[in-house]
Amino acid sequence: MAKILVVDDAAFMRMMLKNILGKNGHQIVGEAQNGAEGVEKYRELRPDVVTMDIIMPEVNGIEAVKKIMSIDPEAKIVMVSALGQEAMVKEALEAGARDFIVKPFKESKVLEVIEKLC
Amino acid sequence: MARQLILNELEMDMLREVGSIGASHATNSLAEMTGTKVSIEVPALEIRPVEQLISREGGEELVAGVYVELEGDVNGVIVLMLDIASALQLVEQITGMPPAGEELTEMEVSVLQEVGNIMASHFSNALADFLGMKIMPMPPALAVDMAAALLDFIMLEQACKTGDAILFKTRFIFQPRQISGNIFLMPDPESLDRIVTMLREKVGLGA
Repeated sequence: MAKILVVDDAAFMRMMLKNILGKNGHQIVGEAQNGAEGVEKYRELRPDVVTMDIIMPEVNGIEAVKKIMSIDPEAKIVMVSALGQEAMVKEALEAGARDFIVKPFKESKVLEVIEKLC
Repeated sequence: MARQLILNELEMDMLREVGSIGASHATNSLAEMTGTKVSIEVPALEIRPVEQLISREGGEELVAGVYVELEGDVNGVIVLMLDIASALQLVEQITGMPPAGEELTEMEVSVLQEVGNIMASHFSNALADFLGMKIMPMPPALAVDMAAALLDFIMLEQACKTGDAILFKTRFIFQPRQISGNIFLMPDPESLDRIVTMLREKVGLGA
C-alpha cells in the first residue's frame, strides 16, 4: 500500500485516479489542482508517490517536479499526462520523474507503474 | 496582422496530411477513453479572412466548445466542438452516469474539459513528433454558445481579428450513438509558415 498525492487540474481525472488506486489498496493522502498546490501538499504530506499532470494552470507539472525534487531528491513522481511528445517526456524524466503514463490510461498501467515504485 | 497567405497545391496537400495525422491521433484517444470506435472524415483545410471563416460555421443551435491554446513552436488554438446533446451523450458514455439535465453540471464540464485536453494533447503530440517541434497545450476552457459566436470569441481571445485565418476542420463520428463533433486547429499565420518550412524540408524542398 502506498500513500499517494494526486495532482491534476481536472476534478474528473482526480476522481478516476482516486477510484483506481483506492480500490486497489492504496491510500490517497491528498489532492492538488495545480503545480504550486502540489508542491505545498508534498511538503506537508510527504507521500510515497505523487501522480503529476503536466498541463495545469499557474505552475505546470514539470516545474512542480523540479520544485519537489529540490525539496526531496528521493521523491517518487509519476507523470500522468496526455502530453506524450518525446521532448516533453524527456524533459519530465530529466527533471526527476520516475515514469510517464500517457492519458487516456488503462487501470492496469496505472497500478503496474505505482506498484513498481513501491 | 492583416496578411494574406498564399500556398501552392503541394503545400496545401502536405498541410492536410498534417491535419489528418493530428486529428487521427486525437480521435484515437477519444476511442480509447470511450471504449468505442470513432471514425473521422477527411480533414478540410481552409484559409480565408477571419470573418468569412467564422460566419460559415454552424447554425443557431448551441454547441459546447472546449478550447485549448497552444504555445511553443506552434501558436494557436485547438477547439473540440459538439452540440449539447452529443456532449451530454459523450459524458454518459465515459462516466456511465446519465445527464442530470439539459444544462451542464460542474462534473460534466470537468469531463468535457478533460476530453478536450486529452484530444488536443494527442493532436499536438502527433504534430510535434512528426514535425520535430515542441508544442505545449495550455489548460482547457469550455464555453457554450452558437458555433459562429464561439469561434468569434475564441479568435478575439487570440487577438486575431483581421487578415487570413487558417482552419483545419475534421468531423468525427462516434459509432454506437452516432454522435458527431468537430475538431478545429487554428494556428496563427507565423506558425503556419514554420509548419510549411518544416514540411518542405521533409520532402527535400528546403528553402
